[in-house]
Amino acid sequence: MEVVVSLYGPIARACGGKHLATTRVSLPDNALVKDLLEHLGLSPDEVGLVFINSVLHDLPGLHLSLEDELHHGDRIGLFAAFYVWPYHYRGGAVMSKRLKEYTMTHEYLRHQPRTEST
Amino acid sequence: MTRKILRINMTDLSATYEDIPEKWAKWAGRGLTSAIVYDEVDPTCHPLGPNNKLVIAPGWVSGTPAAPSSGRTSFGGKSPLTGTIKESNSGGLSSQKIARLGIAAIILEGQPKDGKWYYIHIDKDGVTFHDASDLLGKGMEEVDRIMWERHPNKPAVIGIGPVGERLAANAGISVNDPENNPGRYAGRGGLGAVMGARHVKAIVVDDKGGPGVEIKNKDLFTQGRRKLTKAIMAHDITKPGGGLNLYGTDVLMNIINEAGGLPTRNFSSGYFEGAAKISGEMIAEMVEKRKAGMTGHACHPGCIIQCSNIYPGPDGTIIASPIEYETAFALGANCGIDDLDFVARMTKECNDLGLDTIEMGNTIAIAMEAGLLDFGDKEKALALFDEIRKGTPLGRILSNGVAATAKIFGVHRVPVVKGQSMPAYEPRAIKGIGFTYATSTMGADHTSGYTIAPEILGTGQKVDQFTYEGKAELSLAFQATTAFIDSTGYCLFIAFPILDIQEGFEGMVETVAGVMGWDIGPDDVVEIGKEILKKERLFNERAGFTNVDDRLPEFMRYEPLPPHNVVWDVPDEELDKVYAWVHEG
Repeated sequence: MEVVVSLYGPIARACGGKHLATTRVSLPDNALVKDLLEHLGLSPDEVGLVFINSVLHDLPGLHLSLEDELHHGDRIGLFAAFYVWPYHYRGGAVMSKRLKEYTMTHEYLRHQPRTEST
Repeated sequence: MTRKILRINMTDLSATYEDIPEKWAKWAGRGLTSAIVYDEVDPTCHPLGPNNKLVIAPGWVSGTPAAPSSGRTSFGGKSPLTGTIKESNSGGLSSQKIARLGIAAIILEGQPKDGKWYYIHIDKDGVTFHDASDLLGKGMEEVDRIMWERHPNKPAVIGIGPVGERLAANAGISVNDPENNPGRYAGRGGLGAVMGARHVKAIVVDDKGGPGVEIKNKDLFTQGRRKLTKAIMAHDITKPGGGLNLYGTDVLMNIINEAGGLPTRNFSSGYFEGAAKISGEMIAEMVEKRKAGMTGHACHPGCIIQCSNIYPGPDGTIIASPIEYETAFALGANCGIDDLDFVARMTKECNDLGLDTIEMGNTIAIAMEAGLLDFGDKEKALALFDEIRKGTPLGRILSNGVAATAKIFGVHRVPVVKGQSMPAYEPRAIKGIGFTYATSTMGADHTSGYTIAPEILGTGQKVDQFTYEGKAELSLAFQATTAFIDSTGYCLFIAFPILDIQEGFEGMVETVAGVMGWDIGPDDVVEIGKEILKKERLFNERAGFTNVDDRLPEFMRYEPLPPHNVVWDVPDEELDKVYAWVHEG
C-alpha cells in the first residue's frame, strides 16, 4: 500500500529536505506507524506530533502512535520532537481513539518535558 | 519616584504631566489602558468623534534592566471596528522608551480646532508639537526614515499610514523595530483611526537621559527575572533553536493545517494544500537559499525568544518584516494564495499603509468570495493595495475591514465576532478557541485566552475535552491570566513556558511584585486579571453589547467544515457561563 508522508523540521533530512519534505512511501499492508518510522530511518525519539488524515495521533514524548495502523492513501504528517502545539490552540481538536483515551486518564494540557533534544 | 500620566490635549495643544492618581496607580499595560478608557471614555461615544481617546501604556516591567522579552506596549480606546473597548498590543521600540521616561501612560485626547495635522516629540525635557502637513499621505516606511533623520538617538516612532489618516476602521498603529522598519503593529481594532481622529500622524519618543524605571524590591525582581529567564531558555517552544526561534510564529502553519484547523478560502475549509509553501519552515529555507534576510530576529531590545524574521526576495533585497503566522494565514491560506513572495509583498503594503494584516487578508478573502477576483489570484490581490493607497472608493471600502466589505458586496459568510474577523484557528475544528472568540471583550481574538492559571492545572483537575464541563472556567482562567500578562509588558509568548514550568510562572509574578513592591503570588493572578476583564465587560455592556453578541457567526453553525466536517454546536448557555460572574455576588 502507499501513503503520503510530510516531514517537518530537521527530520526532513530523511527525505532529502532541510526543513520540509513530502514523499510517497510504499509499505506492506497492515503496516503500523512504527514501521513507517523504521522505513524512514527515524527513531521514535526524533518524532513528536503525528497526524494521520488530519487526526492527531501523538503528542511529543508520549509515543502513543507507534502501534496505530496505516491504510492505503493515508496522508501522514510527522513533526520533529521539539515542535509544540500549545493547549490554547488545540482544545477540542480531533484526536485518535488511543490519544483520546489517554487524555481521559492523564495530564495532557502541558507540553511533556523531554529529557534530550535531537 | 511616582510614575506620571502624560495627558496630551490636541484641542488646546497642551501637554501636562500629573502623578498617576491613586485609582490607577496599581495598573500598567492593558490594566491601565482599560482602567483609563473605562473612567474617561463614554461607552456610547462615536469612536471617530471628539470624545474617544487613545491611551498608550507600557507594562509593569517594561524598561527594567534585563527583564527578558518585556518590551510590549498596550494601546487602548473605543474601537472603530468593533465598538467595544479595545486593547491592542505591539512590540518594537515604544514600550521601553516610554517607561524609561517615567511615564505610566500617555492619554491622547481632543481634536485640533484648526484641522491641522501634527506629530509629537517626547523626551526628558517634555513634549513638543510639530507641523505634520508635509508627512500627510506618506507611508510609514518613509515616516520612520524621516523621523530618524530629523531627531537624534534613534527614537521610537509610533505612527499611522494613509489608512489611519482617512479614519478607516482597519487602521493599525505602527511601531518601529530596532532596524527602524515599520513592521510592529498594534494592529487589531482600528486604533489607528482613533489616533487619526486626533490629527496626530506620529509620536516620537526619545528616552535618553530619562529617569528609568524604579524597582521597589530589587532582590525579589532579580530572583524572579532569573527564574523566568531560565524557563524561557529551557522550554522547547521559546528556547534558542526552539520552534519560535527557528521558524517564527509561522511554525504553527503546518501544525494547524495538519490538524484540519487552518481557515482556508474565507473559512470554507480547514486544510490548505499550499500551507507548507507559506510556512515558517519555508521562510527558513528561503532565507538560507537567498542568503539574505534572517530568522531569529528580535522585535524589541532585550527579547530572548527572537521569533521575528526579515524576509528576502529572489534578488536578495528585503521585502518585509515580519511574516507572522497570522499574516501568512490571512493573506495566504484564507485567500488561497500559496506564494510566500506575494504574501511578503502584501505584508509590506500593510506595514507601509497602516493596516492590520489579519483583517486585511480576511477582507481580500471576502472580496474573492464576492467575485471581485478569484481565490488564489495573487497578482490581483496585490493590486488591491493600489486602490487603498490612492484612496479610491473600493480602497476605502476594503480598508474598513471584513464586516463592512461583506455588507457592501452582499456576502453572508462573514467570519466575525463583534465586528472583528477571526484569526488563524478555525473554531469548528478547534472548539476551545471558539469559546474565546465568542466571549472575549475584544471581539474575535486569539491572544486574549492565551494562558492558564496554575490552580486550574492543579493535580487531579482534569478537563474532559469532549463535554463542556469546565470549559467556561477554563476559558475565563485563560482570559484573566492573559489580561494580567498583557499588563506586565512581557511578550505573551512567555505564557508557553510558564504554563509548563511552575518556577517560570512564579518568576514572572515575582518580577511584577518586585517592581511594584507588592506581596502577590501566582494565586493572585486570575483575580487581578478578572478586575481588568470586569471593567472591559461593563464598558461593553454600556456600549450596548449583550450576551447575543457572544456568539459565533451563523454560517458556522450549519456549514460543515472539511476535512472533519464539523459545525459549531456549542450551546449558548455554555458560552454565557464564561462571564456570568460579572453580575453575580
